[in-house]
Amino acid sequence: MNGNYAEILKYLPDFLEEHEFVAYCQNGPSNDLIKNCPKFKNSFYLYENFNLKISTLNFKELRESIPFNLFRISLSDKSHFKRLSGKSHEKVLLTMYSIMNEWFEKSNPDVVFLPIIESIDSMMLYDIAKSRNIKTICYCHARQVNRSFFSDTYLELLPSFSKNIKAKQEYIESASDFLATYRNDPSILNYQNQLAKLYSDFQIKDQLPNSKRLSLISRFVRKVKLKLTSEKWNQLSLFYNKFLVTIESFLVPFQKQIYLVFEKLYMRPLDSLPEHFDYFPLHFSPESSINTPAPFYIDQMRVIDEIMLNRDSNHILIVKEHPAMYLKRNFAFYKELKRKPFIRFINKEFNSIELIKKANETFSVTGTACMEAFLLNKKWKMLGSNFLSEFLKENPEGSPLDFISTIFKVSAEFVLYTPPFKDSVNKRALFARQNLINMSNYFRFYLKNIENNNSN
Amino acid sequence: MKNIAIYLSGNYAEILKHLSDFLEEYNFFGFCQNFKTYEIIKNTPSFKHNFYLYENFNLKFNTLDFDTLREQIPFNLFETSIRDKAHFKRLSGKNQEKALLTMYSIIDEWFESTNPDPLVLPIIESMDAMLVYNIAKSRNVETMCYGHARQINRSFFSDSYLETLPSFSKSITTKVEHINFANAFLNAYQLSPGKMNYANQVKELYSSFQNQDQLSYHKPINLFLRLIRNIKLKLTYEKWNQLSLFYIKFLVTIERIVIPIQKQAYLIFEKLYLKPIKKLCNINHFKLGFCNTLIINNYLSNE
Repeated sequence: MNGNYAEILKYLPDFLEEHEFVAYCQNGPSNDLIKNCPKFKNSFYLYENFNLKISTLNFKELRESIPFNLFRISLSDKSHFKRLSGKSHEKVLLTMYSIMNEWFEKSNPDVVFLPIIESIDSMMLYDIAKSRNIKTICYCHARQVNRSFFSDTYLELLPSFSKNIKAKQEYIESASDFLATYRNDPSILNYQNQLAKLYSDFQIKDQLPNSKRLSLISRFVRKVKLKLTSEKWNQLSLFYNKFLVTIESFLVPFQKQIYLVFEKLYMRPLDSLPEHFDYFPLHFSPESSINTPAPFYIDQMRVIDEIMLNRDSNHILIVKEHPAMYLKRNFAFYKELKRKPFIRFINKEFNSIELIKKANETFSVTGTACMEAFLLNKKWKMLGSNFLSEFLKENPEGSPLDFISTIFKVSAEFVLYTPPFKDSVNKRALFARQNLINMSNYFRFYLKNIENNNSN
Repeated sequence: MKNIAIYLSGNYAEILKHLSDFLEEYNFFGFCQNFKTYEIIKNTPSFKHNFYLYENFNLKFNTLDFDTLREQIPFNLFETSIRDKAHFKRLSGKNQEKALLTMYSIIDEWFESTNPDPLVLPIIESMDAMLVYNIAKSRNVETMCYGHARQINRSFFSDSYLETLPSFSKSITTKVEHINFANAFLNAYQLSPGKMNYANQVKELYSSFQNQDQLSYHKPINLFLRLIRNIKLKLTYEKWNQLSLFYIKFLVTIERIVIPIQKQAYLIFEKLYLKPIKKLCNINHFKLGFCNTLIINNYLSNE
């Protein structure tokens, strides 16, 4: 239970009464919520004895006894634990390992469910489970079709049993409808529209109760207390990070305007497209969709070098900045990029779909640009791995219709994300009773098929 | 008679001008990277014809249709550009691109008019040399890159810029004397790796030469004259030659004075900031590479 996921996942045992639940809590608020839920047999709190452990563990011995690569785990951190020195970061990782390993010893779970892997603690939990041959279930969301599924890997690949399930006619028809709509106007299928439709389709829209948000002062006092006591080492709850997130909505419009001037005067982007070009939309960075599945590519310059070094052609590579990254990258990044031959920036207002449609080839690490190119029957290359690239490795001749219908057959209509505090369709969809019914039914479907798959 | 083209970068012309005297059965062509080299080679009668990279560079640079040319080139030019250490990288990406395409256009014409087989590259440490190599490969011209097995101070030729051993090595039977030599080398190396350093090895090689007569070479002209010549070239033909930048020459010149000071400053920095470990246990080791060095820049794409 990282972030605020406990707010929604505390209800899961009510809908899956045939299973026993144990909670592994990443922070104090999650632990406070879960320990008051009688449906959870036990709950563990990461920072309960963290300070004592970090001061007393024999790190040299522990480091040599760990059966997987801890550095790879450290890279899944976005920009929290990376603020520590390498040595402290290492101590934190080893302490987490020691604590979580004890959780597994005590609770002996058959399955570990991870709603998201976007920090070192959740990646650690995943790797410990794998090293103990415990099944992992990672929540995944096929954004374009707004369907959710579970995966046994942090790469969020389609379930391993997908080949054993026949695609029903209704899935093929739904996939065909989706593709026709998408190709006609890709912007119609944006996330908000899809979510609103999902919510409107729910039969039972009753809302599950959710905790009222504490006042700013109460939250601040609680944070100070935790920071001074048990969560001294929890870098995910830094005030500085919370402050950055809070001022984000005020800052973004200013950043956008300043970037506009910077782009015009310094970047001097293309306003029109060359006859032949390749396209690479820069990723938001750091973000879990790179840090977790493809940490080698956190550095976007590495991505660009790899694209450029391995192409067959000398077409111009058009690079477009991510809208959420205006003024967030170092100036040195743009300076270096301007000194690379065969690379040009495109005006930030330029339509991304048009770029994909006209490009000779579209590149991405794990981003949706490749998915969009694939759905539009355009050439693309993914540097990392995700459920699309791996689907095509197993089905080299797979068409967009095959892919979408496969998603339909192994997914369900539910959502799972950090509960928003403001009332919105996002919140209503998440806390709708139907959402939990669908999620728990999918849990049963997934576990049954995994068992069948293993016994085969 | 076979045509051998030699790509003469840096000061290599000083020694390679003599090669044609020892290989009289071939026609020699000089592909010259700079004016100094060109001056040396054009006065060497045993070279049938010589070409100078910057002879018409400025004109070509201003008149070529780069958009069309870019699409015609059969290999990856970015991969070529990344071989540059810190010279052409100082230019904007667009100008680097133009310089590369202009070089391509000029060098391709050299191949067209000489039709060499093979092409000899004494070193590949700049993008022009890599470009010559790639053009040769794209035209199926045999390439011979000088390779040096530093530890044992033996030289060989390779057909690849990776300086891999010759492709025919498997077809040659290893003689007992080779095995004895390898054994003697390994014993000496394992006993004291420091003794097998480069300077010692070169000294030993030289002392084992039967014929130690010296071939002629030009004495370097004085600093002032060199400066005048470089200014003249920079203002005329070699405006775009980033390998002859004054700033780079200055850095190379002051290197000897600066290194002892840098070493002392690093010692303090290491002690106060890096705080290195003093005891070793259960470690892996990675020695940071010199950067930008041709060894890394050339092998980057393969890594």
